[in-house]
Amino acid sequence: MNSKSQDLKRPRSLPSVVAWLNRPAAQRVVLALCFGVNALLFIFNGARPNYLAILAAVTGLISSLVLVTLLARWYSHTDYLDIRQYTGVPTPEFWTTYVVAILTVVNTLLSFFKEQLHTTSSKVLFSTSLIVLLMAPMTVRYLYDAVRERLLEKARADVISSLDQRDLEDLDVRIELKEEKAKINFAQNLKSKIVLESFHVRDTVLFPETEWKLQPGVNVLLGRNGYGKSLILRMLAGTLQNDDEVLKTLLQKSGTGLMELHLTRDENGAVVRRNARRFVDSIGKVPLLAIPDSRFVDRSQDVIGPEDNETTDLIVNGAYHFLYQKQYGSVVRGLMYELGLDYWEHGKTFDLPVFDFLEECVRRMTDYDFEFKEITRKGRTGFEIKVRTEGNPEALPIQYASQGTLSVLAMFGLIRSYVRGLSARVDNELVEKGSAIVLIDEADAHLHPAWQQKFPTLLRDLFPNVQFILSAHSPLFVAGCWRGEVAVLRRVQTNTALGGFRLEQPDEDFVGATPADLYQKIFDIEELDATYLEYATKATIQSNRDERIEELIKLKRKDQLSAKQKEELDALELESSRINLAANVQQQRLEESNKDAQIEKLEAKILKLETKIEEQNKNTVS
Amino acid sequence: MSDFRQRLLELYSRGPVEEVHALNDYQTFIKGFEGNRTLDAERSKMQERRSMVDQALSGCESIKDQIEAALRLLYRRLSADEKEDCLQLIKRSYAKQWSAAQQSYFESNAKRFLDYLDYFLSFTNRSPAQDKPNPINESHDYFLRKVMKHKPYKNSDYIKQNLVADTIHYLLSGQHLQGFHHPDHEGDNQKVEAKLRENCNKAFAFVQLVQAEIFHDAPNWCFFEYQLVENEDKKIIFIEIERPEEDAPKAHPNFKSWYQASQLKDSVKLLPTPDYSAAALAIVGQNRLEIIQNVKSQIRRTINQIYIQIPN
Repeated sequence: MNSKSQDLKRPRSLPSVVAWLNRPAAQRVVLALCFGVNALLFIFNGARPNYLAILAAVTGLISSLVLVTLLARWYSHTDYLDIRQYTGVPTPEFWTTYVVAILTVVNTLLSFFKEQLHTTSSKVLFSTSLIVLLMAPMTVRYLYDAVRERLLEKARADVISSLDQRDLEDLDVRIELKEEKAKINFAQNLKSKIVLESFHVRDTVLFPETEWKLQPGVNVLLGRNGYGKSLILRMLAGTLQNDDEVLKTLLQKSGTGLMELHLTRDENGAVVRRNARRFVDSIGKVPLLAIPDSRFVDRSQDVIGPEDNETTDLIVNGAYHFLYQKQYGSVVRGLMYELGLDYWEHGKTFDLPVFDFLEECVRRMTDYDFEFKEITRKGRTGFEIKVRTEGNPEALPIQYASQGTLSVLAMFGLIRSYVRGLSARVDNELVEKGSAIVLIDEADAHLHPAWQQKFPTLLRDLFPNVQFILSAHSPLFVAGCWRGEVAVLRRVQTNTALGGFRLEQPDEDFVGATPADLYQKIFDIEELDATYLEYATKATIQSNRDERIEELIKLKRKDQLSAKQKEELDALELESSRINLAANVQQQRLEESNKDAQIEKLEAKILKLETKIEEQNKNTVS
Repeated sequence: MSDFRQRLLELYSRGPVEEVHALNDYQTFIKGFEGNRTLDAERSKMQERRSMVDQALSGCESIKDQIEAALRLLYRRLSADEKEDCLQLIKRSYAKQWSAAQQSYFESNAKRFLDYLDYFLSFTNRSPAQDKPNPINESHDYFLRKVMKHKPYKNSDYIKQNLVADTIHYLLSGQHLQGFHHPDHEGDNQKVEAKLRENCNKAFAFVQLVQAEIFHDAPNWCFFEYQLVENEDKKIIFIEIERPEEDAPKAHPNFKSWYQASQLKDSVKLLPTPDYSAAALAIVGQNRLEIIQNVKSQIRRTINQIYIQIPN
């Protein structure tokens, strides 16, 4: 078992005897003993006395126990273990146990048919047939695997030996050229303005077939948990980044799987296509910043030090952490460290565009004051960044700001840093005008609903040339979005077991939409809670509750209420007030829906009048 | 349909909400499942649907008015489940008092109202200018920019798409009309054909954008779509977005009759506005009114005909 599968191993406790037997050394000793005893008993079967029969039974039991242990071990690791160890290529323990188990069966049967099997030859024939019969399945399986393995090895050796030195050189050249081409493509893509137009997937994990039409500005993807928001974003990121490793795990093995991305590169149309096996059309790796949902900063550390990890280079590895689901803390810390460097390298001043920009972002988003107050050196390479937030007159380490504020800082800071890195212009004031593609998973996480409503508009204002692809849970996120900018993941209504999800893009603007509208339109969420539903039902059930309350109140007035009755009265009154409240809500809902009926009745009246006028006109003319 | 829903439908069909709640059957059923949240949710929905039906249909002066109210209720933008329940409640309660002819008229039209579109928009993306902006977009450029100023089109859109169609669809959608606008006819022709046929059937009105390009090649999707409705009892509205030359229909013998139909007097005309000018500004306003008043009212009239024709 390799270390990776060890890590993934699901621990399950085994009973202590079984745990002891689970040790390979112990198993081998026990099995060797069992095997020896059984073999001897087998040889001297005809003459063996009773104690030997008991010994056979005991050794058979032990070997069965070992077999159970092996099966338990196999079962406990079944999801993650390299099961060939226990099936295709059995271990010595397994073989020994198998043989002991067979010998035990043969021994037992020989004892049972002792009377019938008179001669030695009949015993030998009977035993041999039984052994052959019982050994057959595992032996056939073993032989099949061995032959198959040899044939494969031979075929591989034939192919390799048929290669001459020139072929190998060609292969080396090919690999070099491939790498060179990838570099050139990436360099070209870095300089180009790339805009995604549509993303079509077929026969992938969770998605039988769906298409997402993308807008050049903000694109918001909504969906419930488990509907594949992050998955489709990973597919898109993998296709953009030309990442075979990620995509091969996301396409179905059926061979019809496809991911197709239409885009424009410097206004010229291009297609990236990846089928179940490989990329059939590609423009190489496209720069992408993909920010995963966990944008945490380790709050236990006040000092922010340099990050050595080369994966924090956003231009080259901007999507790495998202694609490979790695911790993102190092990237956010890298951003903070850059802030510290900027401050110190520019004469310890906060009068720099990056600080103005971040302060402005937090202010616009949160409507409260936010200010960078102090950056001090800690140790040889570390920084401590202090900020002032609303309600805190004292400057605090940045890590102590709210999770929402940190998330806003991280997102806007990273986007700015990324766009700045991509932009050839050095003029800081123009940095935000640069073009790029940025993907943010669960962009609404940690944000207050009021911030959620502002977020997409703020992105649009601050980075007008960036194409954003955002996933979110909150329908508030789409407030202010135009037609085509919103996509919602829905379950495919199908009779087959396959099911899956598809994207739906509502054909309407969401400008000025109310939260209730958004919840209903986007998630089909009715604002009815289970408590309301319960009491609304109770309101329709006939009971003697009111009569009983009256009765108890009368007693109360006469000071004749016992403690138990008082308790009963309180409970009944509480229940009654809740039922009345639910009934009132029900009535309000009914009045609300009555407006539609009234409008319809007015429209019907207008139609009647119009028809009458038309008839009168006709009569006048005739 | 779940057992709860079926049973509740049966109970709430017996009369107005208050009467139903007083029934022994209702009380026994609800008490039997007290505390069951699924039942609570289903019951609340069914009660609201029954109330919705009563609000719409009660107080009508005549049976004809009642049927009209029932159809108007089904025309509302409700979910499929809501519509289905309302239809069943109407059929099991109010419809029992209607004549056989009225019932049959209601049933056949109610089916259409369960899943409908107000209009089907037929147009072409084809352009005589390859790799350059489509002339039809250029000739209506100011109109497009003025109506869609919140979301300017890209240069590639001007080349690939019929933006006049997109803008008209946008204006009509803003008038609470649901339409079918399919900007790409790519992929498997059989699938496209089935999709067009299905949506065309669902639509009350067929709106086709007339321009020279649609009469040039055969076969083409615009002609296919026109053929779907040519002999159907469906309102056809032609919107002339470009005056086709008189000898435009040469590619197919049947194009001539199609062309002639499109040139009838009542077709809506959108005047070109290639650039900004004071006159163009006035034309944009006029074009906008043509869509949101003239076309809209033609579509509405088609639906109103269904109400007018309800048998006495």
